[in-house]
Amino acid sequence: MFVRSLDITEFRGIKNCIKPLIFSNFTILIGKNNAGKSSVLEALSLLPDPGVEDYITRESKIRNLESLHQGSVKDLFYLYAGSSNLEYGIDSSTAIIEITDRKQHISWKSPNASINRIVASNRDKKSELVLFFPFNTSIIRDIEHRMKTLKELIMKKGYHIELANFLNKCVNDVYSELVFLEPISLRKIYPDNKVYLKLKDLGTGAERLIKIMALLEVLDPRLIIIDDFEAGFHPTMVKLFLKWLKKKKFQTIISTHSIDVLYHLADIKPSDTTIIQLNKSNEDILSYEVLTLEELEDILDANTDPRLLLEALGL
Amino acid sequence: MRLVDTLRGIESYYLVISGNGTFPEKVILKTLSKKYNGHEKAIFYISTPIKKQTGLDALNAIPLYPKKFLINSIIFIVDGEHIQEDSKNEIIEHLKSKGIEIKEVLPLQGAFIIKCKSGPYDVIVYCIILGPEVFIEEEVARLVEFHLHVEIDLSQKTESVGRKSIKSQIKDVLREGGKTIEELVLNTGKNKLEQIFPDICAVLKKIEEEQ
Repeated sequence: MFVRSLDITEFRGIKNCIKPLIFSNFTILIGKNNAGKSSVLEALSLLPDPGVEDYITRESKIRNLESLHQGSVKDLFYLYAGSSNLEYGIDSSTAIIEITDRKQHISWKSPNASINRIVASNRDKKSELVLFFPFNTSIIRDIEHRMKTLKELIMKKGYHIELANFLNKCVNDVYSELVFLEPISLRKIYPDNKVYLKLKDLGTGAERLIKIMALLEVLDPRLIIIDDFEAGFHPTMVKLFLKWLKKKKFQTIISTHSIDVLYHLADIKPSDTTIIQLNKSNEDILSYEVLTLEELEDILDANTDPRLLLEALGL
Repeated sequence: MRLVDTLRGIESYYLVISGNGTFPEKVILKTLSKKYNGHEKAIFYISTPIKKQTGLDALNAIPLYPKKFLINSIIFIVDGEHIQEDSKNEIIEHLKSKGIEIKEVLPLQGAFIIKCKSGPYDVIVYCIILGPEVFIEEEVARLVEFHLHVEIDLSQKTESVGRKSIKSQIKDVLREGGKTIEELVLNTGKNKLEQIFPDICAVLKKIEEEQ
């Protein structure tokens, strides 16, 4: 597991947290709209360092968030002024990212700790350590650019065929492989013909899924963050993608509004999974309640909706 | 009494857990609860959009509610088809298997109340076996027959195909009559409802009487 905990002070819509958030290897954030899910994920996206280039957009991680909100660094501060402080538990160390309108830097509480020491093998691949997929259509275009630079690796390892096979399980079509044309396409097999279909013409869900999976297969990051996990996905796709993620070594943190995601999780049972229900008070203080996978399963077996139960109880 | 899905401003409530999905149980509970006086008590039913036939496994969540959510009054509804022979014993044994200590069992017509202890928490479970033989549609059939004077054939109720056919018979009769279950319940007197839905009514009545 890459990140153990996160404490937020004055970042985006969150004034502070009642207690630091504790993550598992597979963490699902749920909660009402504007409960702080995206803010938490965006805070995590600044790892390992806000100055490091985001692998997908090629902008610095901090600039990436500014662009996401179509504003300046001030848009990242709580109520658009002051500064933000983010404290992360990483490995056995604590890293602090301080953001002001003049500088953003990371410091470590433990002597001698640094991201380079923690992930020695990835010293030259800092931008690949943490991959953030916000709910934003322009990200899909950016991923296409990155996929093209990874073309040789994708093809050498046979992922262009594996991904087409994966997609075949989610749709009624039969594809043989991903093809690096302009734009990236899929080779579709008809009984008496073969045609190249543009990946972008398969619908946002399929396009998003294949592009995210392609990056994850090749880059093997330490942490992946997906906001609005189910956006554009049919429940079958949700289930197969969760199953696929379960087999991966990286830490996964996602947000969702979907009961399908929760049902499939209870069914698939990724190891070390927790569900965190976020709740933000009118004073913008973030609190949360944690459900284990077993607790989730029991609540669903009682035909009770955990999202609405926790919300109704004000937890 | 009223059925709610939010607890704002509500102090006394009973959480409903179901071993067989949510329709038509939810609509029946909602309309029946309106028949019992007052608005002080609330039945809290947060149903899932996906129907899941879990039977007695729905009881597995009981230890979680007092411990995690401070809820200790629970109404458990389950179709009769999930019971092998003796509902009371089967439910008690299931609760015991989850580490729950049974303190007292009180009969309430065909329904019953189990007073128990989950860890340090006192819990009361109001158990309603719907049907009571096979499923709630047996009770709905009585309601439909009373109002629309069409007999629903229940002879195949123990067969899976037969149950589907009973559900669709009820649906067809309601459509032809231009009625909904909700309307039928609302337009039925309390005494008649207590004959049609004896166990649900017995539990609602008991809850309403409690201090």
